[in-house]
Amino acid sequence: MSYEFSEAQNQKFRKLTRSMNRVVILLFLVGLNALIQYYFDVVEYQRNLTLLLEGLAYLLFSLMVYLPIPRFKKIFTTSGRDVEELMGAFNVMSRNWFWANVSLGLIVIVESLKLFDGTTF
Amino acid sequence: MKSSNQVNNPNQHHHDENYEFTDSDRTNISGVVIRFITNALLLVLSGVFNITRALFHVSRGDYFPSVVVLTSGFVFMAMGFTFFNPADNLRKILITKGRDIEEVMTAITELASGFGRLTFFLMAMLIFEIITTTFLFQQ
Repeated sequence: MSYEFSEAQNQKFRKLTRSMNRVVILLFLVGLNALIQYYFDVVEYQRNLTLLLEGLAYLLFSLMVYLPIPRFKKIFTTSGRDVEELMGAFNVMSRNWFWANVSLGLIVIVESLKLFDGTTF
Repeated sequence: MKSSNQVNNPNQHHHDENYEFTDSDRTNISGVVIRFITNALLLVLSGVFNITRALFHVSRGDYFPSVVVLTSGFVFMAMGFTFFNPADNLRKILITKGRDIEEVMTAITELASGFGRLTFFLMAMLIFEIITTTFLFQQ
């Protein structure tokens, strides 16, 4: 026998997917803007690896936040598989966010090198 | 949309608030907890580095880059803190009994609130970045 979330609980999943959708769009736009700044060499001191990595990281995070949304949506749009869909969303997060961890690790390494070698950006 | 199965067969699904996740579900949840915590720590660390660099810029009199880097630092830290509370709630599922659904719903609520706060920081950052990019293109 599977668990079925109540309407009040479904409302919380709706709220979560709405806020995640907003974050996906904003992360994408911020990442795109960073890459535009890097590509067009808008400001001399911003044309460096850190800006490129941060732009790519924002785009990657945008994708990572987007991936579990369809599974969360199925919780309140379908009936009978709520726990399976919830576990599916969690599975997507735990599998794919490994790459977000890797990219974040690279950013931290680059940021620390920039900090200790006194580079402007 | 709820199917008619729920009306014709009310015992097929239930809302037992003492519902316990299976061992397989718990393994899945532990994977998410690890990802959330790793993400949070790396994001906060990156934010700290950005804020530190911003202070270096200020000490050198480079105020414009300091604002840009500082904003980026706060966004990274906000992203990091988005994941700490939900990770803790999900972790409680693994170490307690009888409150699985309650902890999941608390984690979902915390996650939604965290993403809501992050929306605010990202909007501020985006507006600032677009103004900066537009201004610099015109120079």
